[in-house]
Amino acid sequence: MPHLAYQPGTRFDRPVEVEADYVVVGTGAGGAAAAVVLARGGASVAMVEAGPWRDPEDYPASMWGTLRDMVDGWGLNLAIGRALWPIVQARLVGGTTVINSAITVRTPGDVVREWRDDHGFPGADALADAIWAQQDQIEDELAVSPTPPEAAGVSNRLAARGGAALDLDDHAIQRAVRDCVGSGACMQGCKHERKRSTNVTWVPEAVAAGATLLSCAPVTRVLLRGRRAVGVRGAFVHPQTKRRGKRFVVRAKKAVIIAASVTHSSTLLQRSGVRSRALGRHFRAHPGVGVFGVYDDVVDMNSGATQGWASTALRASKGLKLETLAIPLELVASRLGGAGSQLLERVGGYRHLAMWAVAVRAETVGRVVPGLGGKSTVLYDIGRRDMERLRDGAHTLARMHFAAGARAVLPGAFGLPYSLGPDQLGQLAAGPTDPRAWTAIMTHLFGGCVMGGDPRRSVCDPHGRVHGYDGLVVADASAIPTTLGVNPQHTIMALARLRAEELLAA
Amino acid sequence: MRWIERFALRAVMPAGGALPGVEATGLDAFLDRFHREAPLPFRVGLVAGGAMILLTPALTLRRLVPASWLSPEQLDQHVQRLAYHPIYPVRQALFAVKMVAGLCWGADPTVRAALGVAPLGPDPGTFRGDSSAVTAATPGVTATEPRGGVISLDAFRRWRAARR
Repeated sequence: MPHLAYQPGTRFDRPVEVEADYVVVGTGAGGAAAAVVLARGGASVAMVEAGPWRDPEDYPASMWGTLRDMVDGWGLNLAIGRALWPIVQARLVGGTTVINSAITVRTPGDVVREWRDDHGFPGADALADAIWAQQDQIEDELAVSPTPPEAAGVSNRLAARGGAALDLDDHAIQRAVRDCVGSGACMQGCKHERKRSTNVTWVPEAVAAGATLLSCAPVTRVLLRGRRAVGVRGAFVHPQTKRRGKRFVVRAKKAVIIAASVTHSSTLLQRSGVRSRALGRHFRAHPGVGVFGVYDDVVDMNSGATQGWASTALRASKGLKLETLAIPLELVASRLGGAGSQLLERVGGYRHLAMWAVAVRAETVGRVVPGLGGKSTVLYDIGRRDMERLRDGAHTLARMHFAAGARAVLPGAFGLPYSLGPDQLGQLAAGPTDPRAWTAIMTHLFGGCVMGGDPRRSVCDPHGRVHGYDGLVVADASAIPTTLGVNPQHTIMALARLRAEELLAA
Repeated sequence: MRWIERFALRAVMPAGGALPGVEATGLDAFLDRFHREAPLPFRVGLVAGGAMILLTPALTLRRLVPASWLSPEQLDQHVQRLAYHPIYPVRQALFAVKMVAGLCWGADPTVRAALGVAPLGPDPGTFRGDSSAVTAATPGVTATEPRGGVISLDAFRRWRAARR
């Protein structure tokens, strides 16, 4: 059966049993990339996805619907340090590719050299070439193109103006979106079927090529026979009622590929009895904050591409990436400072707001640890140096806003005034570095099952194979040993495809 | 609990200004949906945030009374000061209440019309079910058709013994 969704039943019912050459856990950027290459190569593939399969006609419109139907844990997964910052990932077929902006950035060469120098990856040049060759193919398959001007919207055009004024070497974001209509609803899933998320591309292609998909099927254990991975097991869970259904067992004749996301892959391996000192360790991220600009003219940031403009000019010097980011009215209402009548007065200016965001290539290292009820907990206390850079990035965004014509900026940091004028930017430059002062989110997660040459400091070898185990490969961002300083989807997909090709060739 | 939730949500987005408050946005229907669909941590967070608003006028106004005894103006001042309180958990609790209020208020068609923003479409809540039945010809992939019914007690005991 090509697709098995939630199967009602009890733990006492006979489990659903599937067998395939390769079992892929997760259908996001990494899982779907690996699965489709394996399926194209003629292998039998079983994809196992914790969330449901939703097509564009199933997508929600409101943020309530998005949290309920698309986001893992209703957005309540937090990175815990001195501050509590939300981790936004999806839990459905297609993973976070369904709710992100499909931003496609090539793997920087300096990152691959860092993997060689610090993590025991041999042949950095050959690896970089291999990654980029995969990325050539991905860009062709997923119709990657720059945000078209006619779909950009006012916020993105203002950012281009501000970026040019500050000489930020900016660009229209390359995205895996075909003929974007600028609906500004990337976060809710693209109802216009323009975003090339894996649930509308590689997953259906893999199924059409003979793969089987189990959805609503969270994996609770990797099955090991000695040191060999022989499958996975779990139980179906209804996506709304959370009622457990039948158990399932998916057997792998050749290998199990783990692509359950940074917040789940390492704890899955831990719970399965995989032994590695590095499991759950070396968690890294690109935490991000946003700064609103207030404009006299209407901006309507949710008309136009959710994220259409970016600059990596400060990546090398400060580890910063600047991007536009439109957030819907339901979130703006809580994101703005204040409460009561003060809040309502402020949100009344919603249509004149543009939000731009900065993400920092943080040096801080955290951990992913098993939590209660099969969940994971991320421990991450961002350091002062990273916070200084994040604050500097917010300052740059504020300067950009004024260069683009804003009359005020809203830094959104405790300890700073709600609104700053152009002659008050010094306050932002000297602003707080306590993470508790900032409203931030954890974007672009890495680590937990890092690759490396040294089994004492890594979970997998440079080919994603778990050290000391046969037939067990990690093919998501949890295997990436460093931050990238750019959006990771393209790198995740390329590495996963390399893993799949290596498995086919073995 | 519903009373605390409504009190807290009305406090952070009150009526009386140019835009409708959260009370005018189908709040009861939203709270019904909230209780039906939201996970426990979300519901606990709203109640905890509401309790915090209710019990802390001493922190903001130096008045040792529940916030429900405050005048509308005093309540407004109270929540504004909570939003900017130096104690982080206080700010976060208030933020949680704001977030729930925003999810209700920002989706309301009347509010969106007042702001000149297009109304939202529906949230279907649907997902894809099983595709067509197993065919023996599917190469390399074998799958057992899910079977209905419950196994016998003897079989259960054998299964349990095997797991030990």
